[in-house]
Amino acid sequence: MKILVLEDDQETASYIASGLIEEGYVVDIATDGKEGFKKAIDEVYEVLIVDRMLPSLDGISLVKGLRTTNVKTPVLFLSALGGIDHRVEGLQCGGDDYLTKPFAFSELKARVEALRRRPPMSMIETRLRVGDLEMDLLTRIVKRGEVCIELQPREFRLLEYLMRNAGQVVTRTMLLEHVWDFYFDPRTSVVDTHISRLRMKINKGFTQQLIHTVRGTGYRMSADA
Amino acid sequence: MRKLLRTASFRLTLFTACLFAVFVITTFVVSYWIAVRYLLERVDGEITWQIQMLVKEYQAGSLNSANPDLVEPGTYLLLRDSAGRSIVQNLPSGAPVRKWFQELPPKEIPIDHASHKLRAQTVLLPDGTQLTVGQDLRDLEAAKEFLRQAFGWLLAAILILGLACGAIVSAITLRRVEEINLTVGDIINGHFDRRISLKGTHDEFDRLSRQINLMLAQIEKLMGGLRQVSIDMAHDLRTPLSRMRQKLEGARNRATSLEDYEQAIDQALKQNDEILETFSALLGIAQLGSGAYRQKFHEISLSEIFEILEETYAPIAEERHQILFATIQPDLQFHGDSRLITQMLVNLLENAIRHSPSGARISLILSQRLSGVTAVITDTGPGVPESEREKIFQRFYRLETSRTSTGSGLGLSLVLAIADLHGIRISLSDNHPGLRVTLEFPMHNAQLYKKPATLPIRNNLKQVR
Repeated sequence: MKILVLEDDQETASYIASGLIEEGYVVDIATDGKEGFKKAIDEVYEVLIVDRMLPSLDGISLVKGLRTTNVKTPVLFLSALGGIDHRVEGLQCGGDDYLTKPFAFSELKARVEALRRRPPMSMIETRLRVGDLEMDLLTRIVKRGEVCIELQPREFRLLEYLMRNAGQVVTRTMLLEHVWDFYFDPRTSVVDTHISRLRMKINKGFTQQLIHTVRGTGYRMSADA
Repeated sequence: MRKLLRTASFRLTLFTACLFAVFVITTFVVSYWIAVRYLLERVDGEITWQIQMLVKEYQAGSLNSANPDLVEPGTYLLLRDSAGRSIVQNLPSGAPVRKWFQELPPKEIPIDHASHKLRAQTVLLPDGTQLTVGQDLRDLEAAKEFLRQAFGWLLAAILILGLACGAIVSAITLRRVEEINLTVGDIINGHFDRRISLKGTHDEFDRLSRQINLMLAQIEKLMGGLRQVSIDMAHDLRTPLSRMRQKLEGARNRATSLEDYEQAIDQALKQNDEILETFSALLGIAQLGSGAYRQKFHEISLSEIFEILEETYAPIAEERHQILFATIQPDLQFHGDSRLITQMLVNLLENAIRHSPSGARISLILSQRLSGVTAVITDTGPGVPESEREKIFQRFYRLETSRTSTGSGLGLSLVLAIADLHGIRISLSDNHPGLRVTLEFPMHNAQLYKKPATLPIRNNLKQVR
């Protein structure tokens, strides 16, 4: 449960660290690129949170260096540089996710959880299960109990993402990015509308809720309330 | 002095004068050479004639020292028999003997106590007698001297004239440059409304002045735009900020329960997010203007993007009791950035949905025409009056009808920036009722043009009457 935060701004670093410590993580902080690089290599972390602008070694070079030395720890980039090309650059150099400053802590937390649970590439599942809901990724059939549920392509992707992150909070931004490829905030309630339609489809004839709303943050899928 | 040397005016003057001098010197050298040759030929002719005459005289036997007046003044002769004794002579006997014309001698010969330059020719008569006839070159020397002096004066006059001409020409020319300099100096010192005056001559200076004036007008326009944007931005951001402040202050003074505080904080966060969104939209527009995205263009499927939009927004329209119709021609490709294109289309589509009342029909059409791919988004909402159609693409511009709804007022500026980046032409027209937005995608992206990143440019905005 160890996380390394590489952030040169003392205030941001302690804000992230104290939040994560409250969540039960053990947090190390490095304020300098080279020092952080050494720590990331010497110790075992579950997730690295890397700011792009670091003294002595910038985040992009740092992550490139880690990947060439075979450190596979998931990396979440934090940056004030939020352009699409910056994001692409971050993901191309070996980052796993990218969060633009300013961010809400709930957003950071949800993304860290998602990274922690990301399965190694070798363990690609073909079947997802949450409670009595089952999704076959090969035949693209969704069943709840014995009932087949007809989903549109976007709804299927939405449900797949929720099920892959079952038990975790996923934010609206994460859903927009992963399900719709929207890297901006739509002005209409895209996510909420589709979630409610999906709920209607998978709850038809069932009483148990599987998709829970987490107030102010997003959604969580789980078989228990 | 050094400062003088550095002015183009001085250099130009000097150059003109030197050019004049070279011209004059060349002229002089040529004419001097021709004149001297001519005079020498005359002297030589004279000598030849004298020799012929003297030879006749000698053969007639009438040539001896007794009649020295045979020769005219200025003519000298030396007659020597075959033994070398001189028979007749008014030339010093040391004179060399040559058969062709020569200047005698290299050193002047002293005659009547003065030194003279002579030109002489020697002939050998059949009986072995040598006859040398010389001509005094005094006249020629005088003529040469006169020529040289005249030239000296001429050169001096020409140099003065050249300097004067150069000075006048360069003064006239460079005065205009200096004027332009002065005006620009004024502008630098803050008189932004100053312009360079045109002389109406339509020469290069007028053209330069006109170009500079146009540039100034453009800069002024951009500055004005920038100022306007700053003012709008400050204004637009002040509203949510002061609202946030009121909320927080209200909570500080009046909140009694934890719920009150939570509610106040939630509202403050929401407003804060709105402000941040405005900033990211502004940043996004600025980044788009820089054209950095263009390297990341690739083939994208427009049809696929439209299908996703239909699937995503049909339920949202439905919630508002509107109907979304889509007619999408499959397999239409475009070279661009799919995320940006999506953002542009979402913006336009959401505008259609948000500004239309319930019961409206929204349509989304993608089709291939001869001129390229065309996308049309229509609604049956209130529409946009013709006079406002250009303005709604300006930053922070809001229609009166949408003043009350939330939004940064930057959505359409972003749309236009994305369209400009891709060379897409946007036009607005009346849908009777409602608004019809037409997007014309270029056939290929070769016709993209660069433009400044400071303001939304309305080149791509076409009014449809």
